[in-house]
Amino acid sequence: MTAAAESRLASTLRLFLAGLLTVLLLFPVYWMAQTSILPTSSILSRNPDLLPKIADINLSAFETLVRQYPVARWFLNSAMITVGSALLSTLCATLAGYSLSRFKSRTASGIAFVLLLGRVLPGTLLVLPYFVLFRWAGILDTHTAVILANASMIIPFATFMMKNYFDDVPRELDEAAKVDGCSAMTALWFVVLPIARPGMAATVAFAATASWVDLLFARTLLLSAENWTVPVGIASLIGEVQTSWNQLMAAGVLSVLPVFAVYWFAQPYLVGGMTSGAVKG
Amino acid sequence: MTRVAETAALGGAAALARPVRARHGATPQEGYGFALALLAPSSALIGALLLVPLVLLLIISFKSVKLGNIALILKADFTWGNYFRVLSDPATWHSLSISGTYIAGSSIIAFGLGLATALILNEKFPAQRLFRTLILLPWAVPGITATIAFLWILQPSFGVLNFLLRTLGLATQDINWFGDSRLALAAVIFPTVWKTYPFFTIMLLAALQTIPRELYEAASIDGANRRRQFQWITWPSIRRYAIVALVFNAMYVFREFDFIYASTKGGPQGATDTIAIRIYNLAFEAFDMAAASALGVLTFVIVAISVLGFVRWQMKVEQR
Repeated sequence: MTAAAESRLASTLRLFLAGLLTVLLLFPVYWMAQTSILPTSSILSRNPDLLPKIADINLSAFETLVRQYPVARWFLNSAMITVGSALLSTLCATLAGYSLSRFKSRTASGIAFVLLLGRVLPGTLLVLPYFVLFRWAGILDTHTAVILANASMIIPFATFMMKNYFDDVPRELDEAAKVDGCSAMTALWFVVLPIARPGMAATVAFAATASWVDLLFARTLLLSAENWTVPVGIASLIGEVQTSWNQLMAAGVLSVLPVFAVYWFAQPYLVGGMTSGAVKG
Repeated sequence: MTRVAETAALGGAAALARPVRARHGATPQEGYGFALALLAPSSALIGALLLVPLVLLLIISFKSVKLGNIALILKADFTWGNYFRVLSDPATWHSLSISGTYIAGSSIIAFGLGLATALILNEKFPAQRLFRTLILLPWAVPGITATIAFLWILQPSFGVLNFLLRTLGLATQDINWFGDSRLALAAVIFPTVWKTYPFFTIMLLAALQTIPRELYEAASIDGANRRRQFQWITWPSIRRYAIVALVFNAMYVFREFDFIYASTKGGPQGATDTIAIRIYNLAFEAFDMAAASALGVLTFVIVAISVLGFVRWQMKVEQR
């Protein structure tokens, strides 16, 4: 066999292997989606069809779900909390990340270290004092409580993501701007931030995903049902519609659509940014 | 997805812990005040939402009170009783061993899957970018969604896994995955592995890409086969990253809440009662805030010691 033919064979083999692994690994998503578009009569079968029958497909599970439960309300609540957490976290993380990238001092290292140590705590441990503190502050059962809790979880990671992006922006740029008469603040605003925009986009995407998927804080800090987010709503469905698997799966499908959209566009930035942080160390 | 960022964050911490003066001259720089001002919003938030809660947790752990009112908590007497109670409770030690099994089981399987996918994605083949996006996708799925998908797949009578096992002749009767105390821990490992393997893929892929191609070319001229190449070149080059990834994954799984809470809530018969779940149930099911706080403080000590040990180990490795 010639070298070229051999490498073509190897590449085809890899394509096949990657395809096989992808099919296996994505099976849960597929199975959730196909269950959501089938009627209850055909999913409660001891011998389910691995491919859905075209004639059976309908969207009634989605319809029933939306009619019986305040799904729109859950999405609105989730959206508000997600936007709030993402904006607050990105603002804090950008400022702090720039500071840690450009100015080194013992104080800064100290702050950074405290921040990180705390973040490896189990969330179930922190939610306990949050519950007590937020009740005392009178913000228990409000979106503000969940936004703050999420931000406290996201800011430390997001800060180091931003620090890594700023490290890649040559410091000569802001120094040159200062020589040209910019203040430190205007140099950051007009020169550095526009360049760091992809980094901020990745941080927003990361923060939004992290708060969209949060179950623990929302489940514990939101007491009344009208404040619930999508994950809390889904968790509440588990006991209630034990037999309506297609509705439960429909809720699952709806919950991943926004994350997939963000993930699809931001994936290269996200993966690149986060691994550079880990590997450059 | 959090744990990936966390790794980035702790990687950053290791960098910060290194002496910085060598690179940047004398420490007090101009613009020092500006630097601190930029740090202020984050510091204020983290101080209020991390340090204050931790102090509060410490106070509650020494008080014998039931739930809620902060003024009442602060008025109650101090006692060592909660720590004594938690440490002498066999359920605590049971939870610790459940946590250990859960972490070890899910990490080993997720690592294997992550290594396999990373090795495949590191080579060139058609539509590589598409596959990369798809294989990493479970990473973006909410934990609760992964859990309900597996609740359905592992459902005893109509679940597709039991159907496949029956069809292949591997099982003669229905397996009640989440309901059987001997299998429940395995059942919660399914969604955990599914959601965590992309983390290993990303970390190991990044490590694989640092290996120079020439090493493999030289090795194949010397007649080393694929297995030898892996043993002599690939594994030694990625070993350090693999250990870092395993440590971070272990910390992530240690605090895991979503999968277990949404499926078994720690049951049946405590089979999935990890430390994280136990703290939650003590506080919000049994309303025993004091015992939950004491267990929380003990957990914090364990975690803090591990993190400090890990960072010191990493710094030592880097200095070599």
